Amino acid sequence: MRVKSGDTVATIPLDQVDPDFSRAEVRFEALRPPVPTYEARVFIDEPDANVNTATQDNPHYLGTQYFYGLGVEDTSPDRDDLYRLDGPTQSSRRQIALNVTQRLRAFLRQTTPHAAPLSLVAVDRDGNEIPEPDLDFEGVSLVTS
Amino acid sequence: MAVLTAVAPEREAFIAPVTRTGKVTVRKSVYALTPDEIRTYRLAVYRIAKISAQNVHDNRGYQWIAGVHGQPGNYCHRTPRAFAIWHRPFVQQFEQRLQDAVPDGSVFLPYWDWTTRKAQAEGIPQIFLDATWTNPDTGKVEANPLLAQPQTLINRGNTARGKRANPANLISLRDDVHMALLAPDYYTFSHDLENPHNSVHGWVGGSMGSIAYAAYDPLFWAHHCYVEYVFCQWQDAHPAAVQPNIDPRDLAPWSVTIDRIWDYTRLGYAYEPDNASDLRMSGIRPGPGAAASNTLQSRATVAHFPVYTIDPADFSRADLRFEGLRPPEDSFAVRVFADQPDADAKTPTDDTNPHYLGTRHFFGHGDCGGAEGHCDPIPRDIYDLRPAHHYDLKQVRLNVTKRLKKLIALGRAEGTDKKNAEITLVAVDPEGLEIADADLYFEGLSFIIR
Repeated sequence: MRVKSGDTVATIPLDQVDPDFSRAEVRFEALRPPVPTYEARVFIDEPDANVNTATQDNPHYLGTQYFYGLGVEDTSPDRDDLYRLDGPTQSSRRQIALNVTQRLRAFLRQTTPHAAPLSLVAVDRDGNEIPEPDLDFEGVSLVTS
Repeated sequence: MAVLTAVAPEREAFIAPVTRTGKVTVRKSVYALTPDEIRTYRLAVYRIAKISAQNVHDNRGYQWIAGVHGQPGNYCHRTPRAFAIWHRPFVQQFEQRLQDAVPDGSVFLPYWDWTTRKAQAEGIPQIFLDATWTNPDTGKVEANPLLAQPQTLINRGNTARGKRANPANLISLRDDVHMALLAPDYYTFSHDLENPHNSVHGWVGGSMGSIAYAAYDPLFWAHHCYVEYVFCQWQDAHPAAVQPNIDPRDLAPWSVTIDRIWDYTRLGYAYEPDNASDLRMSGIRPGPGAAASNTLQSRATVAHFPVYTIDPADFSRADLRFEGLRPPEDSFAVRVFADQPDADAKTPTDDTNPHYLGTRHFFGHGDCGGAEGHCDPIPRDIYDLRPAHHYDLKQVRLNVTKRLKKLIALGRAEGTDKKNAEITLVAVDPEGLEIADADLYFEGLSFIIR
């Protein structure tokens, strides 16, 4: 799916999160590596988050995934074919995990379990919001272990 | 992260214990380079760029090497798990091409630690910003080869950097690197380190901001030299970490397997901590009972470190590390005291004594059970794949985190303006009796502060 900045991309059932986790990750599943370089700020239970939403002293801010863009579109053929021996390319879809352990723990300490929306805000290197970022993935997971 | 190292007087800098033949390259911080080292590094980059200027397809040249990463090679870690390990041979091969270009043994790759307060204050190091330099090969003032390079291999103009945001923003990456260093396994570590690394690419911007062009910017190499340093530190802190199962295709185009490059101490490079020049002045000196070469006699004050200059809130772990330690034959313990030079076997080792940092227990090899020569280490060459000899020199660490924090807090509360703490070692046998002449040889002590 392609998402816009500020979109709620998942709803997290916090009552199913074991609070005794030692690590928590927000995983972007089957993400296609983007062409431009930018960052995606991740907020929980803050559906109106935008580029001006605080990232310090804000328990709803979970972290930032920095995307190091390819720079150019990869036009090489799809290598998911079973019989290709040359493996994935730089633009092959992949799972990207953002460590949110400490911030999620802090958030859970000050909330009651409920279904909380997870939203993403895309920001360029000058600090401007990117309304329609090159952000394409198949799902978002919150994984605790 | 800070790494405080004291080195034996006969050594110029800390290097990891390596017993095979071959010259170990010691990589230093860009902030610690001497004018001669800056000139030599620029000369090496200039010379490999010149190779490319003569023939852009020459594999010794800057263009060919840079082109492996993004355009046109597109090899840079095609799967996320390969991030840290793929860049290891990439960085080393670049350094070796530089060493080929200036073959007097003086060239090494400097690292840029962007988590330091200096980086947060100054941004990109000055040696990468200077417009010109005096080229010793031509005797002329020319464009600084570390500022920009052409991208002739892909028919683009010179590399450029973006308008940079406030470098103070880099401070947020410090926590990210700390978190990565705490990761229990390679996959988690590599993943966690990639994110702050990505941020620096974006912060520099321009060519550095895209995988396709980043390696053409000369700053790339100092950035990734630091990424490799963090990887080495993580491996040092997790000696039992399982070697990851990396598909050989993820290491293309390097003709290496994970077995060959997992143990960085077998690759011929090591890192000098960025504050080592200060520490060298306060490095090991013989204490009242210490003999030459640091063969420990009990109650030896063996080193002093500027630990009071560190904010206890700035680190989450502190290790005291014995460098180049020969495993002893007997079993005994070494108690470590800070600022208690008269410590002996009767000095308290409980919470009532803030100067006691901890005890390192040594499990001795015992009498030789083999035939003649069994316990004599033999120097290994680079082709030797056998396991290490049981008496090969090792790194041995002692976690002193809680006690060191307490000691520093106490020193600050007392308002003392002293910087250094003296480290005194007391050797005791299993019954707690002092051993006057312990069988303990080591080449240096380090404080590793994360």
